Amino acid sequence: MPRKLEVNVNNKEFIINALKDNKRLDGRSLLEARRLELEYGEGLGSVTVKLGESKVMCSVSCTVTSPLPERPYEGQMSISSELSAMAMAHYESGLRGNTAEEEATLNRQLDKAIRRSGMVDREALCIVGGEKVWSIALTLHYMADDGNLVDAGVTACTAALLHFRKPEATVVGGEVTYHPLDERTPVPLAINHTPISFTFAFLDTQDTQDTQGGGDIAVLDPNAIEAQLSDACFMVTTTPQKELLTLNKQGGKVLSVERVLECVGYATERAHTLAKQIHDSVNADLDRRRIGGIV
Amino acid sequence: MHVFPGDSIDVPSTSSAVAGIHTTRTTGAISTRAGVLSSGGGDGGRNDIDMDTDRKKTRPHIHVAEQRRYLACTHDSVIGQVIFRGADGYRVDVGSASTANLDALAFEGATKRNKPNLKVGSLVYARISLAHRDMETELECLNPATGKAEGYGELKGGLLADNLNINLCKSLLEKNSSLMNSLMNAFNFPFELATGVNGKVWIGAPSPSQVIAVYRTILRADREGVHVLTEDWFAELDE
Repeated sequence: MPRKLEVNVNNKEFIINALKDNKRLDGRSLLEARRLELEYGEGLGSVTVKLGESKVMCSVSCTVTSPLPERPYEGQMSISSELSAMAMAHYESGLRGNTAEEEATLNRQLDKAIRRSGMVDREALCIVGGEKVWSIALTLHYMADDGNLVDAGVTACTAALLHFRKPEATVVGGEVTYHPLDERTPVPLAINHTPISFTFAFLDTQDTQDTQGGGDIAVLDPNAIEAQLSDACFMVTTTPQKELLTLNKQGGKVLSVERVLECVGYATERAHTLAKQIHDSVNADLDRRRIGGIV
Repeated sequence: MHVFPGDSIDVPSTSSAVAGIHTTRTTGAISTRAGVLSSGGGDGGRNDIDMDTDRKKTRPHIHVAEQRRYLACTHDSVIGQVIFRGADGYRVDVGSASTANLDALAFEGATKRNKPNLKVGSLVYARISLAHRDMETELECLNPATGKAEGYGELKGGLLADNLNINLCKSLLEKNSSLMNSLMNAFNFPFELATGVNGKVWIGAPSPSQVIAVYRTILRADREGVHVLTEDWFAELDE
């Protein structure tokens, strides 16, 4: 099992000095995200998101369960993901060590951004009040990790939920009939909004010899090395309508109010473009399937 | 010839171990990897990557198309990262299954009084003096025959490209490497490369943007192949 190495001193110094010149190793500017690509699997609701070299697959499935007694008219939703050695050799499965911690953080962030933000109207998942509701399960697989799995994960969940269709269920006199996909057009989920997340990493430039640069530098969509070198990560999830869904800050560094507002401002500006890209891509794939006669 | 693990292969018996070929008295030579068996001798083809020394030229080996996990092999030049500093040496990560030992005296001109001072996290260019499956890998930063550094030692400044295809790194060391040629044709500034056959290449150049240009080109060649390094790519780099 390979250990996760600290970033070597040469690269650390080089990267920080280059950032002071507004340069990043992959040629991006500081507030530029990597290229986002979406690929669709065979079934509906199966999406693979590539963010640079990071790769996350999300698939959605649904089952019928009985609702929680305290919420008889609401469907259920769960997100599960596991970091395995498939993404990066130093991840180990099981409930120990740093991997479990990272995994928990990642799951929590996704849960906040997708489930608790109310992306899917859960009352629309009700079939028979108090008896039968849809339970939507999102399963994520991290296939390659080059940093910023959170943004890739949120994008994958968002796209998968937009892409997903559940079978139609009709209720006649308390009797429920589920129509298979080839019998009736499956129905999309009731989507309230499209969460788009942006992760900024803050790198301290003071610990190198040159102190005049001072302070910290924020980079959007950090890759693995940048994330490893950063002192804090700040994640903003918004909708294209400029509603803030979640803010999440990790790491010990203190961020000023101005810094937070800058990030939030940037995210709300950019969310529209990204949401459009996701919607267009999902719609294009759905259109393609209709021509193929699957849906 | 394509071989799979467990295939009997017909190679002249070699005294030294070759990665991918396992020889016992009862079974003869057996391949332990999937790949293309090259009989050695050097056909000059693209697949023949172990061309850097005459010794290797005559050795049969199994060529695996894409390998990023390094297996330590004696006489390889590698780049390692110091992960521990002990009283009389360093422990170095070269990216293989076990760490390697670098004796503090295995440097040019090093004596008990005058030892090099490497910090944890710094990079060294070294050659593997001992690789054995039951022993810790040993490194040295000098040619034991001459006692000279011959380019080995600490790598200062610059940038390390990591986790590269090992075949690409080996091809960089060839006399007529296509990647090296396109790098030299495209860039009109001086740059240095230290190539470790453990999938690491250290890049040094006068300015950071030049280092980044070389770094991105090597990374692109690694991901997509040398053929994508067209004029368009270098024009894009200039922007």
